[in-house]
Amino acid sequence: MADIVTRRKSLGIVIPVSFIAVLVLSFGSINPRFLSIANVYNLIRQTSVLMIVAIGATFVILMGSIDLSVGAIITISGIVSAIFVPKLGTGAIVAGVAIGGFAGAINGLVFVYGRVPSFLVTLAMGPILEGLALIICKGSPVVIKDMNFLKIASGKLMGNFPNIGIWAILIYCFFTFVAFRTRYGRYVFTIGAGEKASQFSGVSVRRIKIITFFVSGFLSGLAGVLFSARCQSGTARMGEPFILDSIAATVVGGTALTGGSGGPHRTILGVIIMGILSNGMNLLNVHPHVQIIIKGVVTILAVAATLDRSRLEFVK
Amino acid sequence: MASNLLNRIATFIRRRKIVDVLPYVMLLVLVVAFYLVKPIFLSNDNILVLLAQGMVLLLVGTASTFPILMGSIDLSVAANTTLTGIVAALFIPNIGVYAAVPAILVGLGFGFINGMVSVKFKLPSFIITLGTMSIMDGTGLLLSGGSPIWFQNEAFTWISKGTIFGSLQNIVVWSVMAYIIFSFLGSYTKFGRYLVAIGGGEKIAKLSGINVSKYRIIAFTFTGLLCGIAGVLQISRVESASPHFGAKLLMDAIAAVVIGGTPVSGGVGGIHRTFIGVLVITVLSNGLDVSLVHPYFQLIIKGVVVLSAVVFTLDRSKLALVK
Amino acid sequence: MPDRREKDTKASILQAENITKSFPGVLALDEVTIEVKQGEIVGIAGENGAGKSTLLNIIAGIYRPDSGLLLLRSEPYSPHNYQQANKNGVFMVFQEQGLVPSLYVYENLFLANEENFISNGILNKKKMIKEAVDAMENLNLKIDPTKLTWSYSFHERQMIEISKAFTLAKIREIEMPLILLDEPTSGLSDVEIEILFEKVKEYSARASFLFISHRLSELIELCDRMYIFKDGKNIKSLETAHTSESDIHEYMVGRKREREFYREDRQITAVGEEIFRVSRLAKDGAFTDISFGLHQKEIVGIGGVVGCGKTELGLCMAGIEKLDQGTITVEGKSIHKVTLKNMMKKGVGYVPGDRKNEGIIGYLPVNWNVTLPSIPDITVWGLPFLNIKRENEITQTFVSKFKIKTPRITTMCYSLSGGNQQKVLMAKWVAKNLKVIILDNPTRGIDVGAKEEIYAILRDLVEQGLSIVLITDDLLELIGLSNRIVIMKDGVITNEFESPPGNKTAENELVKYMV
Repeated sequence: MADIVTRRKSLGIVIPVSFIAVLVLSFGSINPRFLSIANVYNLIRQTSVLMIVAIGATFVILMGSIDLSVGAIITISGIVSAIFVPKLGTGAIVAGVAIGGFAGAINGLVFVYGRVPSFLVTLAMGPILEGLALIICKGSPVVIKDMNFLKIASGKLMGNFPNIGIWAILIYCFFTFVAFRTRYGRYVFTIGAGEKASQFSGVSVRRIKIITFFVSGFLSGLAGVLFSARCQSGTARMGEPFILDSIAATVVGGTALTGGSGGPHRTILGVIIMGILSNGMNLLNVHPHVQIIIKGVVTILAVAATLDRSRLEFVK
Repeated sequence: MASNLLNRIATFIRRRKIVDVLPYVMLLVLVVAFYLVKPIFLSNDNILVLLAQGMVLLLVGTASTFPILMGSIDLSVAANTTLTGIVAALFIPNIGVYAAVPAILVGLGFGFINGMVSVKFKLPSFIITLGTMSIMDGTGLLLSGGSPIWFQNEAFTWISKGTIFGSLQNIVVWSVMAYIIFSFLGSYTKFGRYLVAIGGGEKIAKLSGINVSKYRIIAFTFTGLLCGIAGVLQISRVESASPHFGAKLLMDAIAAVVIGGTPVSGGVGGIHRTFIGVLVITVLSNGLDVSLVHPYFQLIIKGVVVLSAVVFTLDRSKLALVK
Repeated sequence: MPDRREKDTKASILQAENITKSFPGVLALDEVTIEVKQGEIVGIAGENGAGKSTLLNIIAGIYRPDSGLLLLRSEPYSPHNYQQANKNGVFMVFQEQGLVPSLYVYENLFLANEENFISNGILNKKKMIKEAVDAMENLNLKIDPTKLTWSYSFHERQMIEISKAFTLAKIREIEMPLILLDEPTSGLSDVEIEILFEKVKEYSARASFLFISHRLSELIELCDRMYIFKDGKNIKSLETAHTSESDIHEYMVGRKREREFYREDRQITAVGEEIFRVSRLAKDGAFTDISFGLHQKEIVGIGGVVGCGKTELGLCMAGIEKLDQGTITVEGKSIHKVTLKNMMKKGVGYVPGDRKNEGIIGYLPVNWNVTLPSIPDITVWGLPFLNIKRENEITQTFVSKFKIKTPRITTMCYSLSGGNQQKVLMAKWVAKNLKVIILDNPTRGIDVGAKEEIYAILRDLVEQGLSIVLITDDLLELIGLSNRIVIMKDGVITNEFESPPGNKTAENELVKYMV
């Protein structure tokens, strides 16, 4: 498919891909276990949840906004689905996804009709959802024992390929299609690249914005369900790391914060890079807390490198 | 349409003196309500506790006001406060009370970094401070190993819990002093005025010759400094440094600033206003605690309060496109 | 009016000699020479785009001239920024107001100039307020400097800006500042204009003024002397005491209008049925009682000075802005709810005048731009999927038809020239198979060659059955292209003209009804 929107001076697919190559070679030479099939499957398991959240984040960022509530949505949907597992079995997926979508819709509504900047709406929604989650789980992890439910993540439908990876790939393919082959997807791009002009061309900007936040919430909800299946429990604040990671993966992959360029097809690169970084750092026994620091630095650098400053009149 | 109505309400609130009166009204309502629910709310003991609890927020809230006045935001204030506490705790065994110094320097340093990155890389402040927030969180977790650090050092504990004036805890003294100094800076120096000018009309400020970059860096550095001081006072008060301390602090700080009368869009209000906002939030938190409202529920209430406060005070004409 | 002839012997305060300034694609000022003497009120008249604002911005240090010389009080003067201009006693009252609304008046007066009021880093507010109060008294203004700036009306804030000039001049011990007024009267009521003029005349004993307006009566009333700018040149200098408006009209316009340029021979005289009619349209603060009709294959032009309401009219007819009153009828059927979507559905499209921000999206490729309004129409089996093949076909068609110069149809629009961008913008709307297109300044900021091509395109479209409402600031374009011309002034229609090929109205006839 014509990679039109990435033909910009500073962005090229070359940069992320070569960066991946460098990382793989470096980690591989330091610790050969890094390149084993088992580790590759490990990597897939570790990054699938992020892949799904990051796709949602990509759509929001494409539109020029941001969603800081994804972590809380993951938490609450993880906990809610864990709670519903005894009653609904694998049907608990629906509960988790529904909560995510609902939360996302509220984000969208307050953003559009309250005209509050997206970072603020989603920043405030975070604690609200976390609080709800804590109340629901009464502060303790909700353990999942239903094997069928756990299998949606840890099972292996296709040879040794982890199920959770199948989810990630399906979501990736589907939403890449949505971005480039549907009306909705096109509008997301145009709003991010030129909201006023889109409005003047008859695009229902408000509707698209609300839908996008719904999508982000929905996908975070799905990610939460899968994450809790993988961890075998729903715990408070389990989604927290994903806030920054999803933004980092999106931007590193090549979708600029300013919106209108890039796309979910690029996000896989960002997810792989973040995943390799984590996986590799784990194998090198780098302290998990240092990893958090490194991720923060990487995010800032990635944004600095990809931001198109000519589009920000005053950076506040 | 709904957004037009909200905009009119917000402009009305912002422009009439309502924004001056509203926080006091809120305060009165809260105090009366909590008293009715649980009379011990107004007992001497509780009031002293309330004051002490509010001091850290006073500092962090004041710190948060500088970037917000300019139309920016600093999401890393809570992480900064937490980290400086941990840094201090780590130095106490070696240098005792002087551990406050490296700690505050760390806070100031990160504030400076926020400012510099903002000016040199020209990135939106929310993403920079999101990044530094993560960096500081990680550093804090790393240094503390993920669990609270306890210490026993009379001299250091004296910083907050000592009593220079009668039975008033020192933490109140330092915090109020810092608040007064920075309020004064805000109202009586070029710095304060230029922050408002930048927030209220950056184009004009630049045209008039104001060095926006310089003041941006100064503002963020001051934020870091106050957070550093807050971190030291906090751990001195509870004699331990926890990497999870700052969870609610960010929301509280933004709420305090906005309720006090400085809207997130900036350009209006002032540092002196944050005091009443801090009081409102502290009363809210303390009252909810005393009324035995579950902390989880408090999170929700705080989020709703912040959102409402912002929705009703935001100057939407400043945001041509809400992104 | 007091006799100002003694000022002829006064010293010169500003001399601009052979100032030239160009922006990409446009020569804004072409060897312009003017002079302002002490205590004078000098005006500059001219159409939009004549270069008036540009000159003021150069004098204020906001732009730098490509070539030429500036002398201030007979000394060389080349300010690098606005503050340097201030330091030399040159101040500007900006059209979009140079005050920070949320500061107190006295804070605005001394913004960035507080040195005299600082001791040990502390601002002496009392001193500042006193200075401000004195200044207001001195200038006979009833403005309380301790109030917030936004509590004053637009007109009052203008006075505050003027007083800022005087207070800052006093701080720098400059006796007679030069105050530049950039279209100060757009946005003021008649009463407020009177007050402004009174004050300016009052202050001309202690300052010199350079005043831009497109309203000739104002210039004649207020100024001692005036210059007329046209197409970036200073073409005439006049003593206003002996000048009438119609004299000025003649100088302002009167270019050679080439019939071929506007393809007047292709103007369709046999127009069809009425296809679009507006009745008694009104919008508070913008326009009232606008009625006219448009026939098929007709081009109706709407002209008037900036601020006459024609832009708002265009936005309302398109459904982008809300109408307060009136009805719009398309092909005989009145439109219930005038919204952008509805108007588009009924076959009415709008090409905005602000190409960069409202027209095309620079950061998207050409084909995505061209097909944007048409996306709901080019589906795959009725489902909301994009038909990429069709998209590219459509884009290719228009690239050839309109001769859009672009390396590929997937090139980003920001890399195209202004003229080609405008063609993309037009293609966008033509692709939608509309019946009526409302154009706002379709040739703004593009070079002559591209203009010609666009006029040819417009003639093609009309021949194929399109009807056009042409809103434009370009008088010649208005005359050359239109079958009929409607002139607006201050929100109402002042006259209508038939404009058949071969018997076109003269520019100054039209200008009479605009100013």
